[in-house]
Amino acid sequence: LEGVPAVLVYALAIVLVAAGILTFVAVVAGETVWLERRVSGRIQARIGPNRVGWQGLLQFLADGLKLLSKEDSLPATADRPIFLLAPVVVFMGAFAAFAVIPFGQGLVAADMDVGLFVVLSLSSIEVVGVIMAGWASNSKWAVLGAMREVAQMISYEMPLGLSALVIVVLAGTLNLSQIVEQQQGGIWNWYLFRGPFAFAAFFIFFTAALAALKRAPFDIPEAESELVAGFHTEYTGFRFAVFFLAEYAAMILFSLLISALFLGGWSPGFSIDMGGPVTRWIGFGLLFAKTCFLLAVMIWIRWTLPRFRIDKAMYLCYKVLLPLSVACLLGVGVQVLLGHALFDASSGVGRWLMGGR
Amino acid sequence: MRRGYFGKIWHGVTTTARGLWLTARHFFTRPTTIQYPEEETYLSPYERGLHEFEPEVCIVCYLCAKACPVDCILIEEDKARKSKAGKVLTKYEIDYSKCLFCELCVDPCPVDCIHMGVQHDLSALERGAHVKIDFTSGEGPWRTALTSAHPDAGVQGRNYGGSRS
Repeated sequence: LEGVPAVLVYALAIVLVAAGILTFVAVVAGETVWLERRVSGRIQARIGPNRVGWQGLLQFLADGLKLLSKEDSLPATADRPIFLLAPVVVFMGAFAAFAVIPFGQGLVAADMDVGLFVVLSLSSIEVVGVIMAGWASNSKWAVLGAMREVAQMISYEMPLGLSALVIVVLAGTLNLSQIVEQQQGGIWNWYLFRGPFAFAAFFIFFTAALAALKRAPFDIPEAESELVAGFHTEYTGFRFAVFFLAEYAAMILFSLLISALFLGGWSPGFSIDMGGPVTRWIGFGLLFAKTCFLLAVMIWIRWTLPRFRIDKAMYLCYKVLLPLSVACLLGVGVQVLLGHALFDASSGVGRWLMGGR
Repeated sequence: MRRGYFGKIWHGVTTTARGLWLTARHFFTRPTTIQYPEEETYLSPYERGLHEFEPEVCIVCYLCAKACPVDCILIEEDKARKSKAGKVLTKYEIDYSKCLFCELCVDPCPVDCIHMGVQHDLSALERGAHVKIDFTSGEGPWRTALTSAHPDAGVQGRNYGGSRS
């Protein structure tokens, strides 16, 4: 690549990586929709889509084509620029955070030292897009959906961040690649199994993530039986497809994040060098399997639990998850201090107690 | 029952677990969906589909037409060719836009020449093609239903037999 300006090469690399991740996310999101519909079908003693492609695997292409061919309608009283911008913001919020997710050893687009912080903050941008969509639609359903989203957001963000902090206290870093590196070795090295506080933090984080993803039982902002479709009531065609894709992309993002934080990311659960070119992709496959498992659990929960009333969801987030996550944070601090006081950092138990410190 | 703070949390966790267990069990049950055009649908032994009619047996007594609550049976006979053997049927038409599939036309027939068949999946390329069916002329689905040997005749719950007497 001599003679080509470095800026150009760099820009090309960025575009290629972004295109790769976008393709990955779009395809996996599409298949997640398929999985969701098949699983919900089986839970309700139906079959679900099984016509397009093998067992309906290409259903998302057909759905996408259908949405693309729909009329792109814009409400006459809508706030036009904000209405048009909202799906972009929502998708950007869901998609940008994939840059810092470690897909395998060294397979990370941007290895940032503040990776976890970036993921949590970028995924919060999605909420801004939701509020924009709800407000700009100038429709009572959309405004109600946006209001509920605001109320829900300020309640789930705190337990979400605090339970992630439990892992940060253990790991001593916000860098997701390093957090995953520290979980190498046996399955007991996964942060999920490093003491009761990290174990409890997993469930708190998972529940708060469900709220962040607007998944049932926290689908209060969408609440199709009450608000038509909530904030995206007025959206049609491609714009609706973008909302839909962003929702599932965020699901994948949080599943990847939970895998990286609690389930060892790409580490297989036994001692093996994951640095080689082949094992690197095996690690990616393992991470993908963990992600799929978490996605399946999310879908399973969605088709099990009915929707919370908004005050019940707030009760859960403020009065249950928040004190529990604070308790976990304090507990894990004590755990790390005890580990420091009683054990040598190089010993097995000490390392287990103290995480990466 | 009043629960305390931790009682509520415990209740939420256990009921969620029970719900998840229930849906997991449902996930592994067989779907009840029938892939209809490819798989056979369940037909009741008393299925009332399109009529089957045997014009050769009919004695043109008009009892079925009189029994019909919606007057959907039109019978025409050739008065000129009245023979010793009986009346001559020229047209036996049922208007399926009116027909209720109530089976009241079947009971009064003294010679058992009209039955309720199992044909229920009619389709045509023109609107109105299957609205009025003349059972004395032409080959149509009613003929197929009558003559196509009813492979599973006698199988419980699947009535492919033409007549029930």
